[in-house]
Amino acid sequence: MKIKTIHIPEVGEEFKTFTHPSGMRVILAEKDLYTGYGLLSVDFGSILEEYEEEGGIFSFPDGTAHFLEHKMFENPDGADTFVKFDACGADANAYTSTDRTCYLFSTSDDFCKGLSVLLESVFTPFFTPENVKKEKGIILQELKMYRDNPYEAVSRALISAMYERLRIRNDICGSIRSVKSVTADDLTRAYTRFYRPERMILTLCGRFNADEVIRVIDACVPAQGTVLPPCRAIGEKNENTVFKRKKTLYCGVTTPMFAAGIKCPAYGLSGQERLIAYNYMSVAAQALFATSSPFVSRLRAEGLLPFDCSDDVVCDRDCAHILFFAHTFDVKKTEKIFFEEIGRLITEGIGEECFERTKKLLYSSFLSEFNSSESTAHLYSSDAFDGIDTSLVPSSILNMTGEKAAEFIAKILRREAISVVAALPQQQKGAL
Amino acid sequence: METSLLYPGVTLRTVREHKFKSDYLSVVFICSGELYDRAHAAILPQVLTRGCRAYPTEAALDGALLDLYDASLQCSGQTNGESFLFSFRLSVNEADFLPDGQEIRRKARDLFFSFIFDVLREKDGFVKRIFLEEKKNLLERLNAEKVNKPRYAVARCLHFLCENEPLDYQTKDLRRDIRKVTAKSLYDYYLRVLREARVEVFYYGREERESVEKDLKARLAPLDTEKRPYVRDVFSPLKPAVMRKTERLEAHQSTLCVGYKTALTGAEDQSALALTRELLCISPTSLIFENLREKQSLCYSCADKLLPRKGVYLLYAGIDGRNAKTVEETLDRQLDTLISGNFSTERLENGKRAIINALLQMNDSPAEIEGRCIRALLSGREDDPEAAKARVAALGKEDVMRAAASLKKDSVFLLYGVRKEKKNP
Repeated sequence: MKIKTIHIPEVGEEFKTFTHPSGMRVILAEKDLYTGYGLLSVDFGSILEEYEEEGGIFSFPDGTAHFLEHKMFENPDGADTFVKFDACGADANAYTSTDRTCYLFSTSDDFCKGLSVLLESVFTPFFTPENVKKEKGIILQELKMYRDNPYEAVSRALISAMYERLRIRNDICGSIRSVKSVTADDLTRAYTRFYRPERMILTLCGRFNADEVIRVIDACVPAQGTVLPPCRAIGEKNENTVFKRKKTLYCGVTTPMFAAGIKCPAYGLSGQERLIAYNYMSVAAQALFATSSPFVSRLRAEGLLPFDCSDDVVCDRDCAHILFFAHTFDVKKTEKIFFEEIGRLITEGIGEECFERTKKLLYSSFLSEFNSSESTAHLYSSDAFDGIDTSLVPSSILNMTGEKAAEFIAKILRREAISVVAALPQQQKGAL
Repeated sequence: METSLLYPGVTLRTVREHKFKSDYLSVVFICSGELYDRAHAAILPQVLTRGCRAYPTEAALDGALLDLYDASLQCSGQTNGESFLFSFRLSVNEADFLPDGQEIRRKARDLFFSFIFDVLREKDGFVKRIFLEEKKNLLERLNAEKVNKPRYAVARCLHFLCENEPLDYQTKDLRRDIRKVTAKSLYDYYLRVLREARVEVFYYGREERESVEKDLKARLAPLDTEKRPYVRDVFSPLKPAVMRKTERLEAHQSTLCVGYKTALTGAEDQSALALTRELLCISPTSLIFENLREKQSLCYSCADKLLPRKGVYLLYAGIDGRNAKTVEETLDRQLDTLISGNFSTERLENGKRAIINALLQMNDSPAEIEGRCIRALLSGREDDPEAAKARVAALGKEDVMRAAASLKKDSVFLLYGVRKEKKNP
């Protein structure tokens, strides 16, 4: 087991990394903070609920990854995993995203004990028809909670306008029907296929002894079994074009919303290529959507924005896009200004000032990740997950050039790669 | 943490710390009594955020902050019981970690204090155009009060719990009073806040305390004025009979809120209440989580809220409205379990461990330390985390039984979610 130490001299940080004999990748970042944070990321999110393997296509009911997450803290002996976490002063939680499921704990008390509880839970699955049935009631309440959130509906409408096939377009929790259809057998099949040490990354950050935590990992993680063939999510037919350019949605908002998504081609890129793509996508996002951008300044000057607007840049293994959301007093006018500003950006390009500011923003965002055990662990874990060498992040930002930014932006700002959504109050249905 | 008095009513608290990549500075104005003016307080942060004389637009301000390696400047207002807190916060990256080693702390502080003291105004008020836009925006935001259903349900339950008390300030009243606010009255209110509100200043970073103190004393000289004494919240009285209200709203899910009153006030009492909350609702091993969610599958999320200085506590859960009675009975049973002391020593000790763990982890976040300090100060105490830990460690079963027994049911509010296509129940 060869342990490598990775230095990030620009920000005065370092971490150790190795592949455990089980196949699990481990990252250890010792930090002088009260909070010790453990994060186990499993390479199974909602988009892998339909996947391709050796020419065949396999699927699970929508929401299976999320359902599995709900069941992982139950044990065959009836013991409650959370009580075990309590006994070592640890707070624990879990979440499912489109591309992974994460289990985590934090404690200032007995870190090694917390780690062993986490690993034992995840490697001791326990699915029965009874406990699966019981969980359905809880998950259906969760689904209803999200359905009452109109922002979820707007976000979902935008993503499903942009993507035709990739399961990112579906709700991570699934639908009422799909959740009701999940069986203990589905969970066992999904667990067996995806919950394998070689598909996991364990990241530990905080005050602990590296030798001690390695002993815990040795004791809790099973040896590597048969290595399964690689699998991939069922991808888009067309990486460069959105499914639908425009969508109108009536939902529970009181002030209309305008949402826009720019789909960026990213499939097949290496980790480092994705990092560079992410940096330049951030330049585009800043040029378009920053508070200081001409687009947002115009919306503000026209008195169209009652609330702050938001944007997001995503550059994952299976998808890449820039999203923008704004409440507006006039959706049509906002859309018109949006496309005018896209046109202006294509013609005039991005200014030097905006470019330099984005570099500072990216650098600052990276730096601030080291201010807590939690954010540091998530940074290292995500980078490892995406095949990114974290130590190269600072240089990737400092080596950006205005010419490459202009070239990249010209490549992604195409009408056929943009979806817009008009989200209107329910009461306006039929009134327009 | 070191504490020093910059001016009467203006206290500086510093923590010299090297473990973070940025330094943190906040100036918090505590508005109580006559300064607790919700309509003016609601609109003030929005108007201030639009810029200052040196950076007269949001775009200019945003650009200047980006030039300072995305320094973070926030201005926010928050009600805290019957007080209102105006907080200005600045976070700046340390020069040692910047590629050009640029010292940006001083420049950022120049910007920060001009943002606080050199606001955009015309004649004797804030700039009218900006003021009117933000007033319109705020009214629009108030129209969205029902978008977040659980939050709306909690607000409605608090209204029934504290009816006709200063805390009971409903959206319709706020809307009415905001309409009366003018650019001049808002500016006058801001001047009063600067002049009369008690101020807490927090610094967390690498700079030496003496240097911070010298710099901030000079910059905060305009605050050297006579401050109003802090006015404590008034305890909310228990109703003679439990009030029950149901409101129907188009939603997939219903929210049940059960409000209680307690007369417990002292520091020891607050620790006992904290442990009671932990055992009742907060953790995934709490009685409500175990029973209502895990055993009965009646909810996904359940949470609570305590207004310690008002003696108000409420539990709320997203549920199927048809199960409201069963859910309330389950909540009652869990509280009874604590009152009767029918829980294990292991549960008690784990709860104490969880609180102590949370207290320790707060030390990793400047904003959490600030919040802890403010909560203690508003309760009339000085922040003392060691004493807080010792109080929790000393708690026994009888303390939980006493705190749980002090919680008397006062008001129950059900926000009943109905779907248009279906008949109402």
